[in-house]
Amino acid sequence: MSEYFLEIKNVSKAFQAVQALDHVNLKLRPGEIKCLAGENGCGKSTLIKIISGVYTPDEGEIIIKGKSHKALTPTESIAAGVQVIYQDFSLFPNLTVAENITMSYNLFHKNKAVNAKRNREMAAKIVEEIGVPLNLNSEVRTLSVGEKQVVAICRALLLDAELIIMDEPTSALTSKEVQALYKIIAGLKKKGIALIFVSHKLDEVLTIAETLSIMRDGKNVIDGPKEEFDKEKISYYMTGREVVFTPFQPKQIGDVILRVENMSLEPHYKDISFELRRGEVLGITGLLGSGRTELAESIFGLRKMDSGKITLFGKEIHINGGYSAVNAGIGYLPEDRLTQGLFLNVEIERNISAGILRKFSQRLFGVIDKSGMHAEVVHRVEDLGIKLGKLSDPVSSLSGGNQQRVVLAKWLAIHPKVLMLNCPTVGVDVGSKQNIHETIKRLANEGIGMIVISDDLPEILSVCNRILVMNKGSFTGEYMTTQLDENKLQSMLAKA
Amino acid sequence: MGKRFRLKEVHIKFLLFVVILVVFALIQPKVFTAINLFSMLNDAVFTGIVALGMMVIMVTGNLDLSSTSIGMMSGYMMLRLFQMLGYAGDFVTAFIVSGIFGALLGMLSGYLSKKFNLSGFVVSIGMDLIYSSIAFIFIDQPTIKTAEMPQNLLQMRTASLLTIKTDTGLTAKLNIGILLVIIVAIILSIFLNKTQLGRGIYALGGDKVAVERVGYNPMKLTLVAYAVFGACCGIAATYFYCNTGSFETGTITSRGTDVITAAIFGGCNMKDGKGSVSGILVGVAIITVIKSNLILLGVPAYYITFVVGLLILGGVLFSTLAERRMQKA
Repeated sequence: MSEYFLEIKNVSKAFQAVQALDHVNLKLRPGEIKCLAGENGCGKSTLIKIISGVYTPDEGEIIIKGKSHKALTPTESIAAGVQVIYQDFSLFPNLTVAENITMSYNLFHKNKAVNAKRNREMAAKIVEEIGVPLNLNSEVRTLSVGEKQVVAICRALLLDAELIIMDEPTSALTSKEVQALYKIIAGLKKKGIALIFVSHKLDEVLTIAETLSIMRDGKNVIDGPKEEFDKEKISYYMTGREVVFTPFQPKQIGDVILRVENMSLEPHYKDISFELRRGEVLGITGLLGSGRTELAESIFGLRKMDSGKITLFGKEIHINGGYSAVNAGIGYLPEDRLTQGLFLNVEIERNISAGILRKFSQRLFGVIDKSGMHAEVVHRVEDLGIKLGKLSDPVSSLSGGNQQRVVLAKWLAIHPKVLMLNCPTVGVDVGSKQNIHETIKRLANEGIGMIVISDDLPEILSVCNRILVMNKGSFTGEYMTTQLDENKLQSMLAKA
Repeated sequence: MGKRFRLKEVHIKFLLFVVILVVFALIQPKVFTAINLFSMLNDAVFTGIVALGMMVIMVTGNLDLSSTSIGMMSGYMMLRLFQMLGYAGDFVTAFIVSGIFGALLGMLSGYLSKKFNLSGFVVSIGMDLIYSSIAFIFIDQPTIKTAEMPQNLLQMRTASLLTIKTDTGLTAKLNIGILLVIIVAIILSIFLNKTQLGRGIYALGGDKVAVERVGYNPMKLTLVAYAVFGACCGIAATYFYCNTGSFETGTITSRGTDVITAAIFGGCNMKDGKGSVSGILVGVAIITVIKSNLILLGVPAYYITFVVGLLILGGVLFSTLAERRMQKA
C-alpha cells in the first residue's frame, strides 16, 4: 500500500485537435486538502472527469489505493471512494433531504425497494456526524444554498467517500456559509478524507488548502505546500505572466463630470458628497454593509434617495429609475452579474445590444437598424477582446471573465459619460481580472468618468487614482492612491 | 421524529369536493340518490385511470395530449386481435394485452422525446393527430358493433359490485370498474413511493442532469414513465369499450380535457416534479361531481365547458398560492 490515496501519472487527453491534458501528474495523501487552481480552460475540469470516470484518458495511469487503472468507469470510481460535488450540487428539489442523501447509496447498492425509515436513519447519522442541523423531511427546494451543499456532502459521505472533489464550492455561498464549509472540511480531514478543491479564488485557496497544484494549458505548472506560495506567485503561475499592481496615474485630470451633494438615504448612507473629474478612476471602498452598493444604486436610480443633488456636467439631473439614468448617460455594472447584469440564456449579441435598442430604432415605425446595431456590437466585442464562439451563443457559454466583459460592452455601447462598476472582478480569473483593470484605466483616459466600488483592496489600489473610504454610511476619508498601501487601507476599513 | 398532521393541499381539496357535493345536493335532492352516486362513480373510472397515468408523465415534467388516442388505438388492437383469433375473451387477458399495446405506444413517444431531446408535449400533439386519423385511413370498418365484440367482454356491462333496489322500484348498480381504479391506484402508489425506480421518476422531474449523476439511466426512467402512462390509457379504454359494449373511434377522444383538468386540479405540476395518487383521486372526484351534476341539473353543455375552463385556471392558481404560502411559513 502506497502512502498516497491517489496518484495520477502522465495522464494525457485530447479532444480532436485540442490537447486538454498533457502528461499531467498529481499525488494526494489520505486526509490531504489540495487546491487545484488554474484559469478557465487549463484542464482542471478534464482532469476531474478522468478521476471520476466520465472521460477515458488517452495515455497514463490512475493509481487509487495502490491499484493501477488505465481508465475508470463512473461506478469503479465511486466504488474506489471518489465523490464529486458539482457546482450545482445535482440535488433533487422536489425530494426530501433524507431521500436526496440516500438516493445514490441505494442505487449503488442496487436496492430495489425504498425503505423510508432506514433512509431517514442513515441520513440522520451522517447529518449528525457533519454537525449541521438539517430537517430531514424538508424538501430540498426550501433549503438555502449552503444547506444544499451540506446535503451534497452528506450524500458523498454515505457512499464511503475517501476523496471528495469539490468544484468551485464557494462561488454561490455567503461569507458566513463559507466559514461553515471550512469547518466541515476540517472535520472531514480529521476522518482521513482527502479533498480536492477546485478554485480560482486566491484568498480561499490560501485559507483552506494544504497543498496547491497549479495547471496551465493542460500541463502541471507547479505543485507544493501552501507555505511556498503567496498571491502574486499563484497569479504568476496561473497566468504565466507577472501581475503587477501599480497605481493608476491619470494622463490628465479635466473638468468635473459628476457632482454629488448631500445625498442621504437612511439608514444606508447619509450626507454623501463627492466630485468625479474627467480622466479619473474614483474608488469607493468599504466593508459589506457600509452602504457602498446602496449609494451606487441610488445614483443609478434603482433606489430613491431621501435628499441630495446630482449634477452632471454642471446641470442638475433627476434620476427616476435605471431607464432615466441610461438616458442621462450613467451606466452601472451591478455586483451580481448573473442575476442583475445579464440575460444568461440569451444570445451574446442581444445582451450587448440590450441598452442601445432605442438608439437604433429611431426610424419609421421604430424598425430596428439591425446592421448598424450589429456593427456596434462587433466593434465592442473586438475592442474588449471578448473570447467567444459565435455571437449567437448564449452568454452562459462564456467564462466568468468574458461574461463580465459582455456586461461592460453593453454599457460602453450606450456611450456613457459616467460608468460605475460594482465589484467588477468577482468570480473572474486572474488573467481576465488584469485585462478588465487595463480596460477601466483606458476608458478613464478616453474621458469616461469611472467609479469603481470594491472591497478587493489590491484591485482598488491598482485601478484607482483616488479613493473614498466608506464606513457605516458615511465617507470617513479621501486619499490619493499614491499615499496608500494595502495595510494602511486595511486598517482604515477595520477602524469602525 | 414525530409525524405531525399538517393540512396539505390535498386535504383542502378533499374538503372542497365535499362542499361542492353538498351544495349540489341542496340544489337538487336527486344528487344524493344511490342511482346518481353510483353513476358518478362509474363515470369516474375512465377519467380516473387515465389521469393516474397522466400523473406519472407530469411528475417527470411533461404533458401528453395523446392519452385518449393511445387508449383508442390499444383498445382497438386488442379487440381486433381477439376477433381474429376468434377468442371470446376474458378481462384479465384483455387488460393485459391492451395495457401492453398502450405501453408500447407510450414508449414510442417517450423514446422520441428523450432520444432527440424534443418536448414531450409537442411529440404528443403529433402522435395524437396521427393515431386519431390512422383509424380512418387503415381501418375500413372503424366501428365494432356489439354483436362483433368478444362476447365474454360484454359481461362488463352487467358486472356489478353492489346492487340496491330503490324505493321507486329502480335498481342502482355500482359497476365493478371502480375496483379497477382502486387496483391501479394501489399499484401506482406502491410503485412510485416504495420502489427505487418509482423514486427515480420523481427525481427525473426534479433535475434531469442530476438524475444521471446519481446513477439512474434517464432513458430507462423516461421509457418506464411513458409505459406506465400508455398502459393506463389502454386499460381505461378497454374498460370503456367493454362497458359500452361497442367500439367507435371518437367516443373517448373528447375526454382528454377532463383527464388533464383532473390531473392539474389534483396538484400535478409539470414545473417541479409534483403529483400524488391521492391528489389525482381528489381531482377526478371534483371534476366528475361537477360535470355529472351539472348535466343532472340540465345545465347547457357550453356552460359546463366554461366551468371546466375555470377549474383548470383555478386549480393551477390554487397550487401556486398554496406553495407560496408554504414557503413563507
